[in-house]
Amino acid sequence: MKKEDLFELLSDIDEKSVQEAQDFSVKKTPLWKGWGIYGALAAMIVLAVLIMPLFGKRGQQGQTAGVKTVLAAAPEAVGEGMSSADFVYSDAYQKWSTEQAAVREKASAVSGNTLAYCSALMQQVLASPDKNTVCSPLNTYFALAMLAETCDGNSRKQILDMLGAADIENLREAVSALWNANCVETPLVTSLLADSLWLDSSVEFKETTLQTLADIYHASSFRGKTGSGEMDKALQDWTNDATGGLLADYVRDLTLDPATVMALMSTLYYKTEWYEAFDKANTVPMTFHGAKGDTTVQMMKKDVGSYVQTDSFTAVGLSLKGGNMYFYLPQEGVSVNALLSDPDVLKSVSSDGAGLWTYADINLLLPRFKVSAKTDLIPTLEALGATDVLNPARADFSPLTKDPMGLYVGKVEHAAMVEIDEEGVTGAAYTLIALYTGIHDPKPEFDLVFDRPFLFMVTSADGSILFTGVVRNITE
Amino acid sequence: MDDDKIVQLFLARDEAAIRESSAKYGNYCYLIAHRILGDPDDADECVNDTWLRAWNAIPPQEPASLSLFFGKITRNLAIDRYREAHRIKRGSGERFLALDELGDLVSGSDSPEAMLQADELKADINRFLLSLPQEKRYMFILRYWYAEKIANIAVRFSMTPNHVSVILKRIRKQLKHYLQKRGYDL
Repeated sequence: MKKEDLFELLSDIDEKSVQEAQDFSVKKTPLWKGWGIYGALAAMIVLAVLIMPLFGKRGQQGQTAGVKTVLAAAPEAVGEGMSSADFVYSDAYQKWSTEQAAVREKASAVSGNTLAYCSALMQQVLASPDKNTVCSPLNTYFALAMLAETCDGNSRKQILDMLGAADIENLREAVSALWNANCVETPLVTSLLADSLWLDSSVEFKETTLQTLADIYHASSFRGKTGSGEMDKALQDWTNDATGGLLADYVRDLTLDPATVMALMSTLYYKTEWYEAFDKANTVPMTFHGAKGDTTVQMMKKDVGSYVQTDSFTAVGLSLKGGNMYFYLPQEGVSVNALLSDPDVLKSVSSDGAGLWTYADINLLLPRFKVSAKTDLIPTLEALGATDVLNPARADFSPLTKDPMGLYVGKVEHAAMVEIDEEGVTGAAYTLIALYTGIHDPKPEFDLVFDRPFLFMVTSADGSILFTGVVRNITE
Repeated sequence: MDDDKIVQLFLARDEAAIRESSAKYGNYCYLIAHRILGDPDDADECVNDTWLRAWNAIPPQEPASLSLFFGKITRNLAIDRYREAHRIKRGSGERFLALDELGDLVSGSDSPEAMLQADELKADINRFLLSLPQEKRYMFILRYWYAEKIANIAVRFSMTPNHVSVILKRIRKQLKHYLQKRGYDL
């Protein structure tokens, strides 16, 4: 038989099914659809957070070790205790997926506006000659959105422009939509978001702004003496909790300068499995030709059926139970840095990019990996035009306190990690934005090690040079 | 306009039937034809022929679902046109990938016996499809009835294109096995 005959014969398949198929669209939208571009970026990059101890304690207040706390509510876990297979066929899933479909539709509608921000962030943060780089666009978005709430005038406008929001109401809608779509816990995916405010107890803050941050950003608040050991420990504990301990190496050094008036913290924890796991029996050791030389890695194998090929890269996508992950291999002779500004990269994960995908039998070999990085985002804010908040003379933090003079953003620290193996993907991220007062005059700090030839002088009280010499070798 | 009213226009031999059909189902039929032929002009002609074919078919037929009725006509006209273009080696727009995929299931040579058994074969294919989980059945139909692009199916099912391809490949394999077991030599 010829294939055309078979195609023609298929004209007469079950009419009811043919009609239903046309109207069908799945409710089981993977998570990344909700975040549009953010989930997409999960591939090169990504997200993160855990948080359990905070969940379900809405409005709970307390005081431990000199830090007053008010905890925000957390999402309700759905299908708790079920396996993902049982969950998918349960009534709980039907109900949840119907609700999620509407939530994701809203989130998709707003996420298109954030594309330019994602693209700019990638170009700023991921470029490097030879180091691993990773960031979470969604996580930084939430942190910067909170920052926009605390400032006004041109300071706020620059942040809104950077994030692709027309005004503050528009930003709030986007934040709510993205939050609802991405703060979920089911047997398929754990994707937890958390925000918190770290307030210096000597400063009076405007309640309306704090209330907005609590209502829209679900921010828990902690009040204490910034720069104190108690406050730092509370911040570290909270962040480790919220990121499942995945960023502990960075959190260990997370401290607030005594000049901090307020710090905004946003976290993300993400864990999900591949829709179809890699077969561990097929994993083989192979050489990875890294920027810093060859290493032996564990290559996982899988058959893949479609791909995107352009002059600059070949890409594949793999389904996750709660999202998708995409991998972009630059063509020979193309630098991976060049992909960061290639519009086809972001296009390939958006619905406009459907036409880029073509069909083939691909034997995919993908290394298990874990990457993590801590990034100072201040140069990124400067590059993206959010400069006023960084300058004490220009910053307008009037929504935050009655005495906003001299307040400015002195620290924006972002850390992220992503790990993949045969089972799935895990990621975590945090963004800390600290507001300092203008009186803060941090002394430059650096290491100075006299471990090579040096000159010295000894002077007396009146300035006479008593001795001078050059040390070139030292023997005991 | 309601399908019922459009059918009434056909039955009354009112040419407004074609205008109304074209307004309501023109894009839908065009998409199907275009996916198969990959050429805008060929697709347009196919759609025009669809109204003509429908004009001649109603009456006596009174289709319950016009989308299905028109879609089926367009689909068959398009595949005829595709076959013709390839017979005279004219080529026709892009390669029709969904059709290539169906090549997995057949030998590619003429097999008159199989065509003689067409009704039985259709019934067996239907039995197979109805045995599939709903989502997989719909996926198969979108690809091989509507000739929908993999990437678009992926969007609809919120999967990666890759995942859709893999599922379709498995279904084709299962179908082939199923038909072989029933003694078909396609």
